[in-house]
Amino acid sequence: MKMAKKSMLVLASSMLLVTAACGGKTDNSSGSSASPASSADAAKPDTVKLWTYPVHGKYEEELKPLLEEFNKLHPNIKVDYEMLSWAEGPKKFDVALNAGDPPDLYFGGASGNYVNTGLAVALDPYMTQEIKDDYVAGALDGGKIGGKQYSLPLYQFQWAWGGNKRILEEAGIDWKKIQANGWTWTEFNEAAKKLTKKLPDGSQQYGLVTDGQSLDFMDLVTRNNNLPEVVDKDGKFIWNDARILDSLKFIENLVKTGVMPKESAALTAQKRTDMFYDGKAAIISKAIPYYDVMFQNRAKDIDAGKIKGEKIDFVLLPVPHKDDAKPVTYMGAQGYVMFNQKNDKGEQHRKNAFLLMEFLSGAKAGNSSNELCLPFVRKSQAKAFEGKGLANPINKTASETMAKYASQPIDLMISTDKAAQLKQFKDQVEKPNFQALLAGEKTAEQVAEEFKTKGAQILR
Amino acid sequence: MQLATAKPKPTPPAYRRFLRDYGWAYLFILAPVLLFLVFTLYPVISAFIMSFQKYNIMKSKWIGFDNYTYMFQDDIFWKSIKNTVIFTLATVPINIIITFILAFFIFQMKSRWQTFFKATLYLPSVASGVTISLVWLAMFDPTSSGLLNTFLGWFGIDPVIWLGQSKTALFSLILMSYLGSHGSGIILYLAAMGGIPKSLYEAADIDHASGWTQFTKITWPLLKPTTLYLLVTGVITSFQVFISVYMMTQGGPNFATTTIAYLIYESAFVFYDFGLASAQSFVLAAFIIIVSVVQFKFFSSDVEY
Repeated sequence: MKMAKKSMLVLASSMLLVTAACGGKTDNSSGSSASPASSADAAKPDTVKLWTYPVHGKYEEELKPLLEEFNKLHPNIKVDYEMLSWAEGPKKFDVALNAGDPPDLYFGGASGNYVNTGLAVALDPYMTQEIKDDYVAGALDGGKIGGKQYSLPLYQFQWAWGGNKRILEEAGIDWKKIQANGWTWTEFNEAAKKLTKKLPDGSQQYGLVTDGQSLDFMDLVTRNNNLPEVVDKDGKFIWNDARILDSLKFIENLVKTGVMPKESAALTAQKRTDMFYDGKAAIISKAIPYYDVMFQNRAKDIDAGKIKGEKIDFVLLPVPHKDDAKPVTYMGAQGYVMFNQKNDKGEQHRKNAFLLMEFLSGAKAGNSSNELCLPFVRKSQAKAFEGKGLANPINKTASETMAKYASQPIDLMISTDKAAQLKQFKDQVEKPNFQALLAGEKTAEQVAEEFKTKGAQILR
Repeated sequence: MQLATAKPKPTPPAYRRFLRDYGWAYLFILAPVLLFLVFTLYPVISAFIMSFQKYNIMKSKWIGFDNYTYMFQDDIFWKSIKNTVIFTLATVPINIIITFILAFFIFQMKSRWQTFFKATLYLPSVASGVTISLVWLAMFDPTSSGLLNTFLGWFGIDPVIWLGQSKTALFSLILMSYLGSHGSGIILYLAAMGGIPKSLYEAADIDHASGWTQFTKITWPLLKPTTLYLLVTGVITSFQVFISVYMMTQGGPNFATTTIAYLIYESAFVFYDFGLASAQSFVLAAFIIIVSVVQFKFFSSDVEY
């Protein structure tokens, strides 16, 4: 009996030890109000952990010398960097973040989800006037949530549609005019009829191709019908009137008339791109200016015999807008976000991380906008890299024209709680209904009614 | 004269005796016990506590049964339960039958052919679920050039949007399960069939028992423990189906393939709601325990181990 008691004691003590080891808590302060670090602290050795992505084809090539230079300037700060893959990186980051151990700097966009964890660091205390003045007007807004700066933008993204120049010209579509003046839904529908046809080999050529797994297409269409988001800037649910029904009918009609494949709901983003590559679709429903470089590289690979296929001349097209609505181009910012860890590393560590963040977003990092064929976000970047862009001048001009109608992501303007509700609506209501609409399982009216009911519940 | 008496040997303290007799044994079992404590018990207890919290890595908030209440009022949760149950009912019994038939035919073959088929059919069990899902994703290509649609086209059947419509999406995942993952079941059945004494069949032959009678009276009853094992593990695996859903449909279209395991993943890693995800996990665990107990209760009465 005594033995059993002692065994129990040993077991219980080891359990306690294990529990204590796993659940040990330390100071959890966010640190934003920590005492100012002395100059001695600033010289102490420190390691900043950086997780980033191949932002463009040459990013890693550019990053290495940048980090070496940073290390010469700040020999006490060691940078521990990791290049993540776009496919697996976000999952890895999510796990690290929710385990309380995210990297100090992560490449992405500002997100309400990050802020809600309490680990994202507001950058305002570290932003000097010089840094603020270096950003072009409005560029910093893409990294703000609820008025606080959470990300230092490296470049601005821009979403549009893309066309196959050969197919457009064969159908007599004046794409230059569309690039310059935009187009309405009516004009698009007329063009789409000409672009949708049977090819001599018996296969079908579609006017437009989209995928059924992302909401980008639906969001681009609704934004071009005076609906900047599911909610407005004040967080009020607005997908409840004729505008959303009209947008849904526009999409429904594209499938019904055969402009888009009837299997659109099952198409993956890769399949969508493959159809565009294969000349089976005249227009792709989501394109970024960087496609210019992608298609140029693909043409080189075809010339070198690495791949087979038709060399495609890519033209950037604005998303058509409803006849009585104003055209809108969806733009936002991508850049580095700073995080605390659950076991706080102190104010000096945050300052060191910000030094690196600013270095990787500053003048010397400006080539990213060139490589991605996007407008510069900082004046110093433009000064250093202006005129060295890779974009076809025609598409560059189109991108600049579209930037005049830029609309920023609404989820950055609303409260983080509302942003979480918005995410829930998008994932649990918008996505399944969009898929059902594409698959012909629900009518536009049924989907609009579902949006109205569920929106009132979730986004009340 | 007083006789010198031998001084009695002092009895070692109890803990020393214990260490001498059992010390090594406890040392050897300490490693697995520690692994169990750290990687099983601690996470389970933490998840149970978390299921009553609005989880936040910095400061979680105690919210009582709110996660459970929300979950039971959520349409998507019930849809995921329905999908999981349909998937389980449609896959487990039929997969056991397919496995049994394959094993039965392989058992009749010569040894080298048995080895060949065992290895071939076991291969999908070794391949990663992600790879298999990607292959199936290509097979379910919804266009007329897709592999399965090309096959249907030979018979004049129009292309099917396998994963893109509610009426066929879950069926597609079920079909995928029928055409793979029988390897381990076949190995178990073959081992069990090899263990049935030949004398029983010889005695049956003497009594002029037909092949069917031999099957129903000898083979099937003696394979019952294996069948029960496959049934229980099959149900548990089906209740946890995740990779194919994640890789191929992401729960869509219109939640037609959202299973409970996928919903848990979504709650945790899409919405960062780890409290709700924990609550959903405990409900899943409860379902699995109840179903397993029922299976043992009804199917193990005449099983001898």
